[in-house]
Amino acid sequence: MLIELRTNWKVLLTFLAVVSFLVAGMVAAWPSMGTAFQADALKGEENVSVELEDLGDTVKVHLQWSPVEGADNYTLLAYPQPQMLVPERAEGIDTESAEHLLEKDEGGTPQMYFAVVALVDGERQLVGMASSLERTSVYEETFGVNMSRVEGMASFMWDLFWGLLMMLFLGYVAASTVSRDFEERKMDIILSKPVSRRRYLLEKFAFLTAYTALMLLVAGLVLVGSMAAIGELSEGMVAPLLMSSLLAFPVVLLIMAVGTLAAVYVQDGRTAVGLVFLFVLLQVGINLVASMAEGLEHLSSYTAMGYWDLDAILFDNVYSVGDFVLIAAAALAVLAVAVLVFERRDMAG
Amino acid sequence: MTENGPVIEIRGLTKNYGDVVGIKDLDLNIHRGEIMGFLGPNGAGKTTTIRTCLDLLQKTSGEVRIFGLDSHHDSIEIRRRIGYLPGDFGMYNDLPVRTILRYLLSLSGYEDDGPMEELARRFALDLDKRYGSLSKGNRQKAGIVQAFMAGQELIIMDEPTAGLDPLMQQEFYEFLREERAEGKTIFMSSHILAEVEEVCDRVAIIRDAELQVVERIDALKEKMGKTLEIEFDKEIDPSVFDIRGVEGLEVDGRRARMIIACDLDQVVKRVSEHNIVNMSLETFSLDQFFMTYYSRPGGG
Repeated sequence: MLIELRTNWKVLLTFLAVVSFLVAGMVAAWPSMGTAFQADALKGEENVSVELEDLGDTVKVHLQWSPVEGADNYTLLAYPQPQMLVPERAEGIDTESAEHLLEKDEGGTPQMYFAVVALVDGERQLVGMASSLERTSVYEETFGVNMSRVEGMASFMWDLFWGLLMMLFLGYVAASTVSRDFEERKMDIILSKPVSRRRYLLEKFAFLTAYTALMLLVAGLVLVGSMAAIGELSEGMVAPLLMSSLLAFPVVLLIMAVGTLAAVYVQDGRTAVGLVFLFVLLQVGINLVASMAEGLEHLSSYTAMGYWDLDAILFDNVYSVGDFVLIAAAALAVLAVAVLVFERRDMAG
Repeated sequence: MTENGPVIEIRGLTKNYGDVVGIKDLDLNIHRGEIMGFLGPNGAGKTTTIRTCLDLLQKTSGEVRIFGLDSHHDSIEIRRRIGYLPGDFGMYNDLPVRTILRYLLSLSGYEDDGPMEELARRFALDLDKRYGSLSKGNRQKAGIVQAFMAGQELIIMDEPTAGLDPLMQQEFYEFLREERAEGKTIFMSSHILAEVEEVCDRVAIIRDAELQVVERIDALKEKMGKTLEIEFDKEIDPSVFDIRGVEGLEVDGRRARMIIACDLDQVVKRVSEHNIVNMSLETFSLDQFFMTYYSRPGGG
């Protein structure tokens, strides 16, 4: 195990530094990007207030707006998209309030945009706009995460950024640490010593496991520390932020086990790394489809990554120990297969 | 455990790679305290045999017992007692040789690095250099040191002198003789005949995946016969040499050339009836034998 450290320490330490730097950097840059992740304000939305009244199958929207001086009357426009509003009623409204009935759909209250226009001296003038539901940003609509919140930011970072980087890197390390011994012709000498193939493989994996645990812990601590440094850390967020990192552990373990299996089976670095990358990208791809396509959400439960439920950890501070154990057990099962394959195969010479 | 039996006992060993035959039905015994050479052209099956003995390859059929133990099931116990130098090997390029060798020593369960230092001195190997910066010859020395440094009783080597300069080769042969004197058993493959002739007690010759012959070097030399060349004063009738044990006769006018695998006396008596101008007798080298052997279809 020590020899692994001595031969790989530069790469491993560099990656640890890169991870820390990226996490801290993203957190540091986040406040200045914050507005970009917020929903665009509707024009004059402060002038119009909205209240919803649930009537069972329908929802009654009570709209009220501040009076405009010299207004002859008002017109209410409504449409499901904010870019294209049409007059709700042809005739003018004399009061500073109106009602609008919405039919509920599958998701409950539908999104509806309103604009109140005043007629002043024969000219139309926008009083303000409003929406039946709280607005979401483009990011949130695409990825379902509110990036303006600490939790959303952490989730985004893990999900789409270096969660992937980390999985690819550790998959690569796992696949190449074994296949390098084949490619560099070290295997014959090592296995001519009284070392069983099982011990050889398990020691390598133990080393990778220890490194992964260290890396996830460092990443979690840097995340918490840098959030604290920019003054965005509330006390309740420490555990969820740390856990969001640590819960990746069994998922990464599984990826590394797949990398190890690929390496002992093909005994060739490039192919083994290719196979583990394929495994990671398939997981990411399936999860991306599951998160974006309606009706396909269940797909993510077929992937290990699907059990790394960031939203549940970050937003609700809940996580399933059962899932954690399940994925870790799957990782060990794959590792056991790798040992069996390794024990039965000819060593490429 | 059969301490008095062969150190390596190979029975009907066959190794196929899919449809390709690596070695076929090989039988070979190697005894305590001998240096056994394993000779054959490239691709004949030498490396396959060695790697199968070491359990790096799974045998297709047959049996290999080393120290009386099964090569597969007792592989760990066997590897505790053998040193191995692969034909093609690498080590950790970024590390100093001393670090690597100590690591390998620890894998063997050895603590004492005295022999390692001594071997390195003997073969002029700088242990402080990074392995990756060594020349091919020095890498080979590092391989030799790792095979011998734990003092194992059986050393298996695949073309051990590859890359060594002639002086170092001589030093290595001398070292092997000393090891043998201490009771070590050595099994080494080679395609350099002079090497086998110089250092080995016995030789096993393999060709096309099959073992052709296993013989003592001195017996082999005897069997190999001698080349006799005679010049007469006039043309000679080839029937003069119609003697059992005279082979490969070439008669060119007054000159005759043949391989003698019988008593020389018979030949001399027969040709004494003719006037001889010149006569030379040359002992076959293993090298020549090897060439003759391999050039004969079916291995002679």
